[in-house]
Amino acid sequence: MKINNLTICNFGSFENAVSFDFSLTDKNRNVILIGGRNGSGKTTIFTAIKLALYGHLAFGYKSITQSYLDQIRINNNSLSKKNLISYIELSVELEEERHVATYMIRREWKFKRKQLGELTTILRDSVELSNDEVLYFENYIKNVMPPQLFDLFFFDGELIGNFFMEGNVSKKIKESLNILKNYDTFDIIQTHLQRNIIKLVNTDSSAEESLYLSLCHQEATLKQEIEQLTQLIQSINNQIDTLSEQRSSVDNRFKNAGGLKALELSELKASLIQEERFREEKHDWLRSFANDTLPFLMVSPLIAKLKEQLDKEEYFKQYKVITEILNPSLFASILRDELSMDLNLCTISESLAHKLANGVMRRIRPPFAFNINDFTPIHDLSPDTLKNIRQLIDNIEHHSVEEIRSCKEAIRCSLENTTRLRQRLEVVEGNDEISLLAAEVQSLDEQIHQLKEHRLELTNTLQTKQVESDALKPELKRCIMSLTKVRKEKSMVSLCLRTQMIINELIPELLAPEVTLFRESFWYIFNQLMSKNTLADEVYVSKDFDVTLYRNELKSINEIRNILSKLGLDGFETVLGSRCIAVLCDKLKLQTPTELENRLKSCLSTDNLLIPIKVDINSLSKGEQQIYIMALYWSLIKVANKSIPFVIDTPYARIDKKHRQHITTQFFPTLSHQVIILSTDSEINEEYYALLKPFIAKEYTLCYSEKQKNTVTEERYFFEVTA
Amino acid sequence: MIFRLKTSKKTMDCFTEIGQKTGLKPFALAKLAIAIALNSNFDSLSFRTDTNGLDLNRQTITGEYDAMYKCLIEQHCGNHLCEDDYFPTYVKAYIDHGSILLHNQFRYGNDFILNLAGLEGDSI
Repeated sequence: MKINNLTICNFGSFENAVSFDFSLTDKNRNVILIGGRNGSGKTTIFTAIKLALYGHLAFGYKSITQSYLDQIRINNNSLSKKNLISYIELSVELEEERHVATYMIRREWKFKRKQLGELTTILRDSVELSNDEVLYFENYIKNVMPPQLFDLFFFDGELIGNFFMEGNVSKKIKESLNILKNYDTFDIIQTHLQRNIIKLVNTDSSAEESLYLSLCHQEATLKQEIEQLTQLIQSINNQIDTLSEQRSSVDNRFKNAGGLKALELSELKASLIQEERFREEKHDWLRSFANDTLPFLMVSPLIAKLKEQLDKEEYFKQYKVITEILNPSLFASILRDELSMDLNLCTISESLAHKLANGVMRRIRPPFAFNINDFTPIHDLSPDTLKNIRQLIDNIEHHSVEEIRSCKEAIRCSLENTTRLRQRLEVVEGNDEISLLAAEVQSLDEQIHQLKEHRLELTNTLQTKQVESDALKPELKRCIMSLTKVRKEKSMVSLCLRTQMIINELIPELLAPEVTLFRESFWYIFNQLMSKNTLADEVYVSKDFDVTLYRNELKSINEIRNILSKLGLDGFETVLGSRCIAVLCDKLKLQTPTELENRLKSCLSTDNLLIPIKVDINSLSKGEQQIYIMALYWSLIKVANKSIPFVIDTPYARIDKKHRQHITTQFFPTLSHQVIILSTDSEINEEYYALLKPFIAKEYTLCYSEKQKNTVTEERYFFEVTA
Repeated sequence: MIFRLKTSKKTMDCFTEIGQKTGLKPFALAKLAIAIALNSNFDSLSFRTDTNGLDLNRQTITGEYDAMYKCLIEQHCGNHLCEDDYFPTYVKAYIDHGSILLHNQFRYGNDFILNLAGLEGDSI
């Protein structure tokens, strides 16, 4: 990444738009030097770059909040302007896959309804990014220059010491390297693994195990019961088959012997009863016939006479009625009325009427009575009775004595049937062998019946058990699933632990080349910067980036023994360094520090040994410490191997003249492809300016105008003016 | 109006004997006795009998066929009968006379009913 341009407008001490061109044309000139006395606006530039790149993150806010906006320092002079726009615009070059893209990041602040608001615009090769692209870009920037490492990119001479001296330095270096090299992913994995382990390790599978076992036991018991029942039913089926065979054989013998089955016997008896009932009905009919019909059939000639007599009587009755009505006087009156005769006809009409009446009487006279006075009605029935008698006679005529014959015939047949049935019955009941066979058949039938009942009972039980077993299956399945889950979780723990182990083994291997590079880089720059060559003879960097300086010294074994006896083995290691013990062991051909301790106790040699003695950093002067820190910083950046611009403020805080020279010529030109140095005129003074001049790409001087109360920039460094 | 009659002792004995063998009740036998009497030539008015036998009810004997029996008896006699003559006088005469004839039929025939119906001697 390269910063090309920075424009600050109405921000901090800058009024109106002020641009700084940071573009680099000559790859040997990597330094942008910005000079300024105290309060001239150096820190504003420092802040502006930070803000442009990271926005609210630069101040440690997760989003644009009021507290964040409160920290935005709008230029005081500008506040009186009508259309106030305050912004920072940073133009950077980013190496993308096959292309170098120019990004223009603009953060703009405006007052709206008495509230300050921020508007961010990002252009990629003059094309504005969409919201998604902005997010992507911001993430990319965070990846290239992680916000956790602000203090590294924005080197503040006053504060950088704290980063490397306070707390666990090796841890900080390791973490920084991890982040810069993207090894921090492993840390995230480790954290997640640890969290999972803690979460999962609490799961207890014993409840599921015991439930599963009990369900399995239940299932096995049921299965066994079902098997037993099935076998039992099968054996009963066999028994039934055997008995059925026996029964059919006995039955055959029984039939061959002329025996009757109970069913046939009962049918026979039923037939007998039916025959008797039939005969009874027939006898009833016969009695009824004898009572109601037979007497009339017996006197059928008399009935015929009666019918004839009744006809005669009826005819006679009608004759009587008609002749009574159609008498001579009726005819006379009719003639008189109808003919309206004169007197001559009157006499004739009377005799005519008599003749007519006599004629009628003659014509309708009953044929059975020559003399009408000879006929005397015997019965003289009323019309109703006559009607009934006639109806009865009709009924009688429909009957015949032959009906008795057929009835008697039916009775005779029935009696024959009965005799036949009785004979069969007598044969069965009277035969002992047949009775025994019948009893056997009956006993077999009973046995079969009992077995069938037992089988039914067992089948019902079997069905119940099968239903139970079926119900158990899904339950077991559920249990297995939950048990599997629990077991999986358990195996997850071991998996997590193994993964942790692998990562723990992997990281040192990944870091091993980095450690070597770090040590080499450190040793190189340390020697370049440090004027005192006797300060350290070697540097030892452990796999955890624990940096220890060692100075080789000649020490007699006695001396060493005295120190060891005073400090003990642990104290010895703390004061003289682990490398010292390792070298001692190596020289005396020993394996462990304990062996060393024992050997030294018994050894009374005055031999001198050249051994590395740990140099205590805290015993160094502040300036030397600063050099040490800068060497650490430089080597860290070299190992990270990222082309990132570095902004350095107050670089020479505690450095003496001699060392400043080294830093100016060795440190800045080699630190990065772009180093922006913010310096006062006393720090990079004329002398160092001259030394630095060959590496300077662009230079500016900030000058605070008391009159206008703003910063004025000039494109040159202090001393060119004076020069 | 009299609705009851008492048969002769002889009638009662006949009926008892026949009834035991054939299962026919006195009222049925009475009807058969009337019928068999109607088939014979006998002078009911000169017929003498006693009243030491069965006590029979008019309704039981002739029942719904009362008018018919009256007609038949009138026809047999050849003259009209007043109610009081018909029952019990004529009816009793016919029963008591008929019972003797019936008893004869019963004694000398193989099958009583078939005999009465005039079918005796057939293949049965």
